[in-house]
Parts: sequence; structure tokens; C-alpha cells
Amino acid sequence: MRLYQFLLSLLLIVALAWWAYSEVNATKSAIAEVRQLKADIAHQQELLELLEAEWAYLTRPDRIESLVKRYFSVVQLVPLTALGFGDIRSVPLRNGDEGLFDEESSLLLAMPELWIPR
Amino acid sequence: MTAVDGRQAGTADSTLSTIRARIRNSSNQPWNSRTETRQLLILVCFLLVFLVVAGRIAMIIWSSPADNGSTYKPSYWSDRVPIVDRNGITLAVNLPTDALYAHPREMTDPGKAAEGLARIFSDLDADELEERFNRQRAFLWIKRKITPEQKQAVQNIGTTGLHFGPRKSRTYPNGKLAAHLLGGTTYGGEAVSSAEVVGIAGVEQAMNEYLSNPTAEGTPLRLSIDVRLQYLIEQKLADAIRAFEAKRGTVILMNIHNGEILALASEPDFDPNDRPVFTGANAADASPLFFDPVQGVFELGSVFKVFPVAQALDEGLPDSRGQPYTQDSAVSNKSFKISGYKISGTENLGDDITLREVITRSSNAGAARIALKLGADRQREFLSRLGFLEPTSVQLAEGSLGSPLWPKRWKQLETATIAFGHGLAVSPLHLAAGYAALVNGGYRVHPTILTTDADEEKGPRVISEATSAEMVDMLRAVVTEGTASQAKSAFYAIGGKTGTANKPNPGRGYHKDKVIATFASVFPADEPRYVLIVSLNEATSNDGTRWENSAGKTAVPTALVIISEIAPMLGIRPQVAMGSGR
Repeated sequence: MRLYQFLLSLLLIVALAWWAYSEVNATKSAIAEVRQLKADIAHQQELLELLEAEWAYLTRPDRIESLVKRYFSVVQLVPLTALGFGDIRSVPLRNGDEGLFDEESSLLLAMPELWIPR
Repeated sequence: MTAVDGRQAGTADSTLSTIRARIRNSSNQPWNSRTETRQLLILVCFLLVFLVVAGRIAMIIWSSPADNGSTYKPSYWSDRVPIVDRNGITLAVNLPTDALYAHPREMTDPGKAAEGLARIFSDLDADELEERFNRQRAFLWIKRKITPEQKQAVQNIGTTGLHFGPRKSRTYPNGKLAAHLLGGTTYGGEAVSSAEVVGIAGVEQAMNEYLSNPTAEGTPLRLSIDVRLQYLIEQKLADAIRAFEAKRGTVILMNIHNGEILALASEPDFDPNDRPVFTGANAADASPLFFDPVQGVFELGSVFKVFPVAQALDEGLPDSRGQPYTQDSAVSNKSFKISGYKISGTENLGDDITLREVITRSSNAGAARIALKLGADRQREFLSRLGFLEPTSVQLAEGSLGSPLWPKRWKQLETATIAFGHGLAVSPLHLAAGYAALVNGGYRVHPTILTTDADEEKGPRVISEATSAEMVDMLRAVVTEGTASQAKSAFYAIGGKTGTANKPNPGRGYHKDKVIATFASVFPADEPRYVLIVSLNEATSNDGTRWENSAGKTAVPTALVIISEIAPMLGIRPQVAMGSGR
């Protein structure tokens, strides 16, 4: 009987040792994985910053301006000037929409701040 | 029998026998061999554990500090929070780069390494480098920051002993845009594996704590600057400096209700990616690093006349008839002498003018008389409430350098001259904040280059709403009927005040022909939203017949060009009837 108890406790110790060992290993590999993920994130963040810097460099105002000039025939962009503001009354009506326009336009005409781009 | 027996324990054998004998002798009970074995087993287990612990302690004690894996390796937080404009456009970002260092003792061919490095870096000398390598030092910095191309070239030398340390390099993708404002960075604490990036000027220095805070990572610092407006204004300022042959120039665009600075231009400028070395001597006049709108304090001249007038109106100062001043109250334009100095009235204008004309026609004598009636103490107190007697609180390193200068002795003469902008030197940013308070309904604002969530940041009240409205009206009149007639626009109602101040000539009073021409403007004048300060240093204008240096011919047309272009971008609809040229 005692021998069984002894063997049982020995088995228990072995099992616990095995469990502890596998837990330690799992923890270590999890730590390694976290470290790897952190390194990956840092690397991706670095790439992201690189791309952001490149995007900012490529879209800097002087470059855009020179590109607009060079490709004017294609893009036909001109600077926004005071003449670029329209009037709600100059927007042509679609046929048969008079009823709708009356209601909304009176509001828009009364409150131009609703449609002025800010 | 168990695996571990006292008899099999090797060296511990004799000790165990002794212990067993002692136990046997001390016990009165019949000896049980099983109990004995169990006790021995426990004893051996404890012994083993103690041995392991003792061994580990001995290993730690006798190991050299270098290889116990716990030596202190300095490492610095090298990341830095990016800076973006109000629309999220990147202004400053970090790029990975490398530092180059050498371990001369590892070098097999120092001569080849030195020669190769000298070919890549023009500022290095091959002989000197070889001599340093041959001194057999363990470690040597060669370059603090190299480009990827340079790194490849160094690797191509194909020699041992050259190493790279990872670095973060602060990069400004827009180049010169907003250079002064952003400032620049340098490396602080430096180790092989990392280096600390610290701000040395502009917002990089002023906000260094936030920018270098690891917990702030991912949330960029959002400035109130608008890159598009900043670019356009810098272009127009550079154009004006060329056209009027000015030395330097400044433009500030500020929201009058919350103090947000939308553009802050200072010429000449520089590339913050390659920040020039501070030369020190004569910095204010020649250095591109000098940040005029924030750091420079100038006597700005007639733009200051609005302040005594506003104070007189607001405080109900009695005029010559004993009635509180109104815009139409009579003021004398006659020249007069005070403490031996002559204060002139405006030429080609009668002796008797109105308070309104003191501003629209810019009368020194008129402004000085009002200020003298107010007295030095009240004048000083009013200017102090507007923030003219302390550095601005703007989040720029140069802000604290822009400390206003005023005479220690602030008596009658000083009161009279300060009324027309001489004697008190402030930065253009002070002026922007002062004008904002005059036209925003009368409360003080603090200039800021960070976005504020609020549309209005109301400080303490400086003048009443009614006085503020009268000031806007008079500033508009300066354009429609006064000295700033060149700011008449077909589309936008602009108000403002000109100032042409002779530059001080150290030790000899003032220069006769060198001036700082300033136009402090507000727009749209019917419902002011922005203040725009244009200041040109030593600008001259030639209309084909004669040279002129008054602000009305230089700063005013510059401001008109700028406002005409930025107002549509700010979403301001043209208000003045087309073609009327008001």
C-alpha cells in the first residue's frame, strides 16, 4: 500500500514537474512571440512613418503647384479666387422640381452660412 | 531501496554515516530502516537544493560584470511624436537612419578604411583618420548621421571594424516651409544602440516634453498652421521682399477670436533638415535663423496710434469741451515740443482734425496729445492689459526671447512717443494679439500655434464691444479714406493701420531712410475674423519717378495680394460689390 502511495506521489511529482516545465516553455515561447510581434509592429510603424514622410514629400505644395502647371491641359485646375463663389440663384433648376426648390431655396437664401464652404 | 541512498551519495558518505549513528544513538525507539531511508532522502533533497542555490550564488559572485547579462546599457527613447498641420498634413516625422562608429582594434587595414571613408565623406581627412585608427582606441565615433547611400558605400569599403548604430532622424518633408516655426532638433544623450532626439528651436524645443514622451506615441502634435496658407503667404512674402528690395519680412495670420495662428512666415528662411549654424554676431540683421515675428522686438511706429485712441474712447476721456471723446471730437494736429523734442503733425492737413483722422491720416501730434491727456500710468496699464509688456505665451522657444523693451523712465516724453509707436519695442506677434483684442469685441486673446477646440478663447475684457466696433470702423476708414488706400479690394473689405517706423541707429538716434514698414490689417472688415500683420524691413518702392519707403506703398499692397488670395481659401465670400474698388 505504502509502495503505491509512494509511487503515486512520485508520479504526481513527475506530472507536476512536467506541467511546470511545459508551462515555463510555453511562457518563454509566448514572451519570444510577443518580442517578435513588438519588433514587427515597430518595423511596420517605421515603414508607416517612411510612407507618411514620402507622401508628405510628394504632396508638398510647391510640387503640386508645379505639377498642376505642367499638366494643366489635363487637370485644368486654377487657384480658388473671389470669383469662384457662386450664387444659389445661378444654380439651374431641374425640370419639374420647382415645388421642392421653393421650400429649400428659401431656407438656403435666408441662411447663406449653411452652404458657404468653411 | 530508493535511487538515492546514503551509501551511494559519494563524498557525503562519511558525513551521512555519522549522522545516522547519532540518530540511532539518541533514539530510544527501535530503529526502523524505512524511517531512516525516508529521513535520508529528505536530507539529500535539501542538500541538493542548497547546493544548487549556493552554486548559483557563487557563479554570480565570481562572474565578471561584463557577462552576467545585467550590465547597464544606456538606451534612449529615440522616437518622437510627429507634428502635423491643422488638416493633418505631416510637417515633421522620424526616419530610420544610422550612425557610423569604429572599433579600431578590430581593424585589419586601418589605411584602407580611412581612405574609403575620406572618399565617401568629403569633410573627413584620410591621414588624420588613419592616425586616429592607429591609436588603437577601443571605440571612435565617425559620423552621427549618415544616409542609406552612405551606409551602402561604407559597407562597400569591405573592411572590418566599422559599425552602424540605429538612429532616428527628424525629417521635415516640406523643406523650408514653416522652418522657423518648426525649429529643429539635435541628438542629446547618445549610445551605440540609440540616441535621444531633442528640440533646439521653435515648436520642437518649446513642446519637447510632449514630443519626446513615449506615452504620447501615435497622437501627433496638431498645429494651428494651415500648410496651404503658410505656403502661399511665404511665396507672397518672398515676392514682396524681392519687389521692394527689403532685407527681411514677416507675415502673421491669426484668428482674432481664439488666437490660433494660421500662418507665420519669416524671411529669410532656411531648411530645417539642414539647419545652418548659429553665427551669433549681428544675428538680428543677417541670420536666417532669427525668427522676426516672434523673437524680434521692434518699434513698430504708427500702428500703435490705435491704442491711445481706443483707450480714450473706451474710458470716456473728456475732450477740450469736457465731453467724452467720440470719433468726431476735435484734436489738434499742430506740432509741439516736449522735453526739447519736436512732435510733428501730419503735413497737408489742417491744424484741427478729428479723432478719426488721427488714425486715418496718422497724426503723431494728435496721438501724442491724446496719450498725454491719458497720462503715463493709464497708458502703461492699458498696454499691459493688451499684453504689450510681457513676452507672449506662444508655444515657440523664441517666444520668451521676444521680451518687449520699454524705457525705465516712462514720463511725459515717453508717453507721447509710445502713442505713435516709438519707445516701446514689441514683436509683431504682440501687435497681432493687440489688434485682435481691439477688433474681436474687446477681449484679450493669447496667440497659440496649437489648435484649440473652442471657436472663442475669451480672455479678460480690454475694451467694450461698442469701442471695438468703432475701432473696426476707423480701421476700415484708413483704407477707404486714409493712408492704406492701396488695400482697396474689389472683393473684400479690408481694414487696417499703417506704420512706417525709422529703424534705430545704435548710439546715434534713428536712421533717416531705413524703416520698418508695417500694415496691421483685419478682414473681412464688416465682420472681422482674421488679423494679418505684414512687416517689411528696409523696403523701398519705386513708382517710376521716385523712391518711397512708406508702409502704404510697400506693406499695404503686399497685404492686399495676400488677403485677396487667402480669403477665398478661408471660405470668405466676397462682400464688396464687384468692380466698385472700395
